[in-house]
Amino acid sequence: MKNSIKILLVLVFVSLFFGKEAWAQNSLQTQINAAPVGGVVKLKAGTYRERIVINKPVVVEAEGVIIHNCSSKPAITITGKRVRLRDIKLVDCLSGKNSAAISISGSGHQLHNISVTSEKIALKLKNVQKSKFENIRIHGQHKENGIDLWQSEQNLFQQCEIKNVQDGIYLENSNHNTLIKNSIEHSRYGVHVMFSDHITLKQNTSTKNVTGAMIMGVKYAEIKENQLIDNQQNVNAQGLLLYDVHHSNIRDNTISHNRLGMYIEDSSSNTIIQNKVEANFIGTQMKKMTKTIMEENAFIANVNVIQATSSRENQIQHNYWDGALTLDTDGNHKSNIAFKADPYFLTLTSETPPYQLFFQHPGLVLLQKMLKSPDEMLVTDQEPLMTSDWQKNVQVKSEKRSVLLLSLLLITGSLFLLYIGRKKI
Amino acid sequence: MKFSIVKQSVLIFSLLFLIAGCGKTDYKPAAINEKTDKCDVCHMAVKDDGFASEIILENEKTLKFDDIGCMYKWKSENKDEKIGNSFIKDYQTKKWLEVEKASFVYDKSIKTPMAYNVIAFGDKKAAQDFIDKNSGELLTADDLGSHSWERNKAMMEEMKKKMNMNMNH
Repeated sequence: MKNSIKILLVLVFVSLFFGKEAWAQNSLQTQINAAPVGGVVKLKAGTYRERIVINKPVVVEAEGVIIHNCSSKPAITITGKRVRLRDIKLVDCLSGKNSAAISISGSGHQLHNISVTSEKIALKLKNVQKSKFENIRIHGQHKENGIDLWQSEQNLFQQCEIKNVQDGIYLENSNHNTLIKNSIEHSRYGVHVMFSDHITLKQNTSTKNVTGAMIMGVKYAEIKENQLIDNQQNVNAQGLLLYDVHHSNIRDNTISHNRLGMYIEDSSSNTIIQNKVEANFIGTQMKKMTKTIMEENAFIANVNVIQATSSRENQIQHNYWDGALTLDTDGNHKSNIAFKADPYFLTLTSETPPYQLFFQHPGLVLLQKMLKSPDEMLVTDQEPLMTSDWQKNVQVKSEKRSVLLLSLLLITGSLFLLYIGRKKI
Repeated sequence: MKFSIVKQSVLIFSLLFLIAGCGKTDYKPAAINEKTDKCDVCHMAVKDDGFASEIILENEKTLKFDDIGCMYKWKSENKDEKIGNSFIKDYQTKKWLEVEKASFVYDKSIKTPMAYNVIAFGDKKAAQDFIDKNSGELLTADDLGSHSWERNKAMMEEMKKKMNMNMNH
């Protein structure tokens, strides 16, 4: 009996200290090292407690592999060229200022279907070129950025889901990067671009953040078809902020239910076209914006629509303003009455923010009319649109429905009358 | 209980001095609230780190900046505003310093939130130690007035060139 207990204890000891997780022959690093350059390595499924380095062109398939990392150093370090890594899950148990869960440098890498739960920067890219990141799921603790780029160019980030981080995707000094169909929520800034040119943001969704997208020190950006929604939980919350942005194209975005829809400052030569700015507390605010084309945008149900200060040489026309008095005498779907927005409320509240409590108060409206701002301070759209494209679609649909209903009613009525008439005969 | 003219005069003058003394405001920096404070120039969130700076206006309104470069940009654009005092965080100790009494280090390699590349030290020796260990130029508050405050685009251009060279090799 005593011997069997001893054997059992030895077995438990062996399994604890020499099990799969720590056994050198089965370690992830050993499996990766054994793969030839350009080869494919399928890692054995299981939970591992080790850090790995991939520094040669190799395809690593890691379905069912979970790495638990309780070190301040990265769980995975990728260097060199053409590393492909897919289907791995990382769980970090330590935080560390500026440390990363996955540290990447080099070029031509592809990461697919990676899940990271960490207080650290989930993916830290330094000098990374021509790499692709797809289906990356990041769950943070609001301490560090989700994906952090420094001097990295021509990379693609697609369908990544990022939650509870500092900045969802942070780019600094990183040109020619493309972000498509990513979703970021409950973070500080969804996308934060600093001093990076030729950036493309397309079809991304940024919700419930302090700022949906913060674009600063940027030239030649394409910001298209993004959904910047519900960024209103913070006193400084906003959908889109452009600061020192030039020669960029902001098109077809939906910017709705934010505290402030769009804020544009120190920016020039941009085109802002066909965006839907809806149900924000302040629709759009512009300061020192010059040589910008703002056309065919729809401003719907914003408490305060638009304000501009120190802005000049802008072409603001053919937008839809739901609060505008409109009259179309020549049938060109454009109003003959100009729309003018007075910066009175926002000038008043910029010095004393608590006055925001009196927004739309009848007394203030009266004061605004009495103390009308000079013409050069007003945002003027000489020919506002009679309807926005979105409204047109809704109208056409509802018109079709009512025609169908009316026809059905008439047919039923006629049949009923016919039936009654026949009975009498 | 009648006061002599001399006594009355002394009392009045003392009261006047007391009132004049009360009028001198001692401007103090306000604590940074990372959740709600944003830079009054670039609109980024202000972190309670070694880069934050503040201006307290004579009307006691507080302006906060995430980078001392933003503070000097504000000063150059608002020359008519009356400034009570301005403060900056010590890069190492993270304590508030009066800008006029601090020492500064500028170097292209120093990363700051808005890439103005200037940091502050309460102790001149600490600033010199930083320069000895890394690199940089020692500046006083007076020097900052004539500093160019160019965001470090030169550094970025150099980096771009290096990266292009690496990519071509």
